[in-house]
This record gives sequence, structure tokens and C-alpha cells, in this order.
Amino acid sequence: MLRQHIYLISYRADTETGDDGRDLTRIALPGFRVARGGNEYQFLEPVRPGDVISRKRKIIDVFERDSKKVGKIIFIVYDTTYTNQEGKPLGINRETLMFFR
Amino acid sequence: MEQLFFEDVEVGTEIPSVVRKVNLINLIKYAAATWNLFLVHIDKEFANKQGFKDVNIPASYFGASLAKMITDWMGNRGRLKRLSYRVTIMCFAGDTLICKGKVMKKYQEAGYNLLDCDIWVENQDGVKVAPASATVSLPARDEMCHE
Repeated sequence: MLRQHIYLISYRADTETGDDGRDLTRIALPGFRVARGGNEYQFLEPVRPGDVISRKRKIIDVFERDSKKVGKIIFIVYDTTYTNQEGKPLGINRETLMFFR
Repeated sequence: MEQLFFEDVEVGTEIPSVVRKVNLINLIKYAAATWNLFLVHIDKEFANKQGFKDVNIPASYFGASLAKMITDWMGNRGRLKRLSYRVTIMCFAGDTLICKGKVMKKYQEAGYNLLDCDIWVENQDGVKVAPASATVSLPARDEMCHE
């Protein structure tokens, strides 16, 4: 039996992108450069062929830090929860984005 | 791929390293595979305009490489339960990423055989660029089926 383990690290193929190629559904701060600080993934259930996956995002924290290299950095931490067609949570991604000038 | 069993692992067991030399072609393939077309990872002119010396390696690439290191090691009946990483030093096309790790804790919880692992990514100069951690569940030798 072929088992499919799909680790949820990517985006949908059909979303629109901005002029910079970045997915328009991603959190953005116009006028700032952006980099990803890191991720915390929980893989709760395997994803199986035929599954219909929904996602819900929730902002957890927003704060500022000073850095020597780029000055002030705005951190946004948010959770994305992925559920299947039965409402079963498949995985949770806690992601940190850093915005700076 | 050989199956790794809970009995075969101890605290201190090292996870076989994964090495990835990353050039522009790798980053273009990765952008296509992950549907992430953010130009800073694939267009040198855009990256320069953003103030970077070259296209930079997306953070998820580090996570994907660490996930590969762990899933190659744990076997088909292993399960990656948790993976967390932070990219502390930005990397660029031309860099080499070396994923390493070892088992820190071996325990059982809620019917699972679990390993907490300290893992990380180094660059070609031996500098740690991404500290990380992972929790893996493994089957025991005498189990018929593990989920």
C-alpha cells in the first residue's frame, strides 16, 4: 500500500501573486522588505489523496525589536490550522514573519 | 528504505547528515515545486533592488531539507510529529547547507514511542545558520502496525 505523507510547507497553486511574485493571500506590510523568521509545524494526521483541505489563520503576536543590521524589525507571529473535509485537524503551522525597511 | 525501530535508537544517536549545494537552478525548481514565486528567491535583479547581494534561500527550504533528513532516517513507518526551525543567518545561491542532528530524549507518551531531536543547518564554513528541533515517533520491533 502506498502511503502518502505530504508535509504542509507550501501554498495553493491558484492564488494570485503581486508584482514581486509573492502570494497575495500572505500577510504583507507595504513598503517593507520581508523575511521569514521560522516555523513550528505540528503534523497531527497524515494527508490522504482525495482530502479537501481548508485553512484558517490567526495572528498570535505582533512586536518590534531593534537590530544592528537593519534597524527596527516588526515581527508578526501567526498560526495556520489545516483541517480536512471531516473537520479533523491535519496540521498547525506557527510562522514568524519579519518586516524591515 | 530500511525501517528504524525505537529499540535501535539511543540518546546521543546521530541522524545521518543531508548536504545540499544550492544554486539558482535549485531555487527555481524549488519555487515551482512549492508554488512560491517570490522573486527575491529567483530573480537576481529583484534581489539586488531589495538590497541583497544575490537571490536568497527561502526559510522553508531549510525546513524542507531538515524534514528530508529526518524522514530519510525514520523509515516509512516513522512519523514526523513536530518540526520547528529559525533561520538566523540569511543564505544565498552558491551556499551549501548541511543538515545535522542527534537524539536528545527518548520517551513514551499517549501510546507513542517518541524521540525529541536537536537538529540544525550549517553552511559551507561550518557556521550554524538555522537551529531547529523535531519530534519523531517510531514503531517498536514487536508491533504489527504503527500509526
